[in-house]
Amino acid sequence: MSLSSVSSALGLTLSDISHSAMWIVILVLCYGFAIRLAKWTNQHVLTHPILNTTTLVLTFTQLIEPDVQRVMTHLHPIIYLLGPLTVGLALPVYNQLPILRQLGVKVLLPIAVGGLFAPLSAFSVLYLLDAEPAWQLTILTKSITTPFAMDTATMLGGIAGLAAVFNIITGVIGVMALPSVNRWLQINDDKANGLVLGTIAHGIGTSKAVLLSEQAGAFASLALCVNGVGTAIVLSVLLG
Amino acid sequence: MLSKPRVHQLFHHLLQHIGTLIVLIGAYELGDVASAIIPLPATINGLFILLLVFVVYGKVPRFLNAVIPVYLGHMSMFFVPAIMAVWLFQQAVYDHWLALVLALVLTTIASMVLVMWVSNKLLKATDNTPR
Repeated sequence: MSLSSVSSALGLTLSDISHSAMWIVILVLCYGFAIRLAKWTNQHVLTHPILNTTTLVLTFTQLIEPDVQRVMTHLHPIIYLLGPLTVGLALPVYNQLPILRQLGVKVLLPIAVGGLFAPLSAFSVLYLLDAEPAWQLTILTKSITTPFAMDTATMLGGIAGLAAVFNIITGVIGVMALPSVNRWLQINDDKANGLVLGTIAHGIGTSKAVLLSEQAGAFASLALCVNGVGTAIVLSVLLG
Repeated sequence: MLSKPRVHQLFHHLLQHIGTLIVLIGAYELGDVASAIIPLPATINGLFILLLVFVVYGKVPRFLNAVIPVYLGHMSMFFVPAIMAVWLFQQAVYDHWLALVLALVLTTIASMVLVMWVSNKLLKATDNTPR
């Protein structure tokens, strides 16, 4: 069986496949460069690979194929794989179960407080300033881990791409604001820092917490998992 | 030339990756089917299915423990195609910039202060309890 007969059976043309392959290669190369850059700058939050990879790929789209929506269609295999990879978060969740059993409500309560306050306050601001309803729904997912945020936003009638952007900006602000919050409250404790970073700044905060200490990293992962799963469930059940 | 043990090692890695992808895609697709009954995103359902397997099995199979962290470490790349959609909302972002700055910056910092304060109250109590 030739390649062309396989592709036509799948309803794809060879040009679709070669375009997909080309854009996936461009994406991987841009990502490779972005992680090098993050390493050179000692993981500075402004060189987060997500920011730079997106900027680089968008630059390429302007040079090669200005129709961003078409490029996104070409990159569909990558968009699909995000789903199964997110399921892989079951591993860190499983690894955090002992801390959860040991401290129970003492860690659940701060996560729940942040998990409720962060989306509701952001929603209220957009609601009071009269932003479009789709944006108001999208911003509810700003503090949960990006893949859940995108999935949940779609389910609520929000916009997945915008959810990812709000999400990443929130994560970057969280990491940048942490030292000021520490100073202002006169609290600088690994457990509290971990819970704050994981609950409010999700994955971007967690990767910062890992650099602070092992304990901060473990508490941040726990907060990321609990808040991500909890918020996604609450939002889907209430509004889905 | 690759030595024989090296070839074996590469083959072993390849099998680990294929196995992990089958498990993850399988759990995700099962989660998607379950979404018809349980109104949650397919990823959350899939995550619970896999978590349940780990809890029942009592540990994480070795190949998953070796490969999943590698994938999670590079997850950022998989967000990029979806984030590119922001290009399509440029005008809307310009129109709403003040609302967005307020909603993202102020509420994020306020939430951080709140969580920091609550965690400190509760976890300090943990440290003081005699063992």
